[in-house]
Amino acid sequence: MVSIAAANFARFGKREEDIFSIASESALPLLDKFRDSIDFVVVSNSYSGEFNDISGLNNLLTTHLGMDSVPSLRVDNTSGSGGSAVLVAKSLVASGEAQNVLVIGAEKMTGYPTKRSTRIIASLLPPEERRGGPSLPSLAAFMTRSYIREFSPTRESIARVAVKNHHNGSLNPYAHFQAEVTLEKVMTSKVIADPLRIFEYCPVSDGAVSLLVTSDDNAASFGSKAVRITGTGASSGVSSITSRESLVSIDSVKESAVKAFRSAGKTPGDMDIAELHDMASILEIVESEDVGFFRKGEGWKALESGETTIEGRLPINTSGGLNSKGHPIGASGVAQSAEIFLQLTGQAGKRQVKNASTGFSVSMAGFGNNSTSFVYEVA
Amino acid sequence: MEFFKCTKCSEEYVFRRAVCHKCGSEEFTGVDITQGTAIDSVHLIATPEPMPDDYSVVMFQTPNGARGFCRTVSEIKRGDRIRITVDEYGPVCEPE
Repeated sequence: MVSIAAANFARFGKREEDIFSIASESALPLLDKFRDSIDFVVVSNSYSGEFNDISGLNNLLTTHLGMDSVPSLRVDNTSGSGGSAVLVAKSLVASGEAQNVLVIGAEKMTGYPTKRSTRIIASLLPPEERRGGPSLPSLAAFMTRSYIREFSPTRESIARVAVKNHHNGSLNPYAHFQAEVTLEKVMTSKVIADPLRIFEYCPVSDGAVSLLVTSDDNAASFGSKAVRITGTGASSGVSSITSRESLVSIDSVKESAVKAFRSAGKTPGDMDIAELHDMASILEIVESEDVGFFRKGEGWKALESGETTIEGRLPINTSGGLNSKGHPIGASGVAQSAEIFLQLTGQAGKRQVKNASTGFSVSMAGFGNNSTSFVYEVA
Repeated sequence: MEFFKCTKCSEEYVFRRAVCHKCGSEEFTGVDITQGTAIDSVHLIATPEPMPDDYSVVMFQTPNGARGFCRTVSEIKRGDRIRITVDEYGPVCEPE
């Protein structure tokens, strides 16, 4: 069985430092403890070429960290890079190819005009669709409009995702946004893609997070509290949004969750906490249904009734999610695993969920072009 | 605006493919799309380079059921019939 034995964040947000400094800030505390044991480094990063004029980030980073002799690779799977990187690390350990893998999720994205960032991120869309002018935020707006037509939530009920997640982010010292927002503030904020408003989208962020992925036996020998990865599922969907059957559901999220729960021998009802890919408010609601936590069309009701708050029956995005914690793209999926690790080992501070022993995360690439789901249990 | 049509089963795609997902054929021909029906329209403030600053994105469907995106500065609602042309950035549409 493969476990996560340690995790450390470099704060998400607008950072002045370069990507090497931010990544090192997350990795060095783990290297101080485990440097001699680490025999592989997996770097999750999607846009160092476009934003930082850097290729081969994994080797540059291992040199920066004084780990020249340690093999490394870089995982690029757009917004889903982090989940893929954790899956690669888990597979390296499970196969015996490596014993102790350092996963570093890092991205440096700020400093460019919004129009440039929007273009870079939209480059994952099929070229023929891009010529028609959509951005990733506009796809979430299409989803919101379809969801409202089909399931009749109030507009405010969707915006409550931002209120909940900004509250959670205010309790997370590593989050990009450290302040709560009211429903009124969300609903009167600037429209980005009608009907979604700026507080309902993740910010463009810098940040990094590191994990130590190892075997159960090694975790025990390190004397660390550990969290087992008991279920994994990877799934792909069609990249062309206009080719999809449904705008209110994401096939790759559904299928990856089914695989993860099946491989863990668990059900969605067994989960105590979850981290979902809330690039936009509507996505948390849709994914909470697609992974099986709530019936289709009823995720917004669970949100409204408080079921998904930190004190609720199934806390979702206790970290603040992408919405408030931020979305440094290569770091986000790794950060989901790190948040579950912190929660299940009792290290989540003010946002700690009581008595949580199981967790779930889904890391989504693009607008659901592919997804990786995980089930975690206390070791 | 050019779509891609499978020469074997006539399935149409906005996204160029090497293999038809419906029948497996590898032969396609270009189809000029000039009309469609709006599925929905989203007014977009934060637009990507190199596009203009303020427009709506329309998701539309062709008479044969294929779907695509185009830009517009007109008011287009779900169900409206549209006329599609191409400018320097890509496909644009107007109410028919």
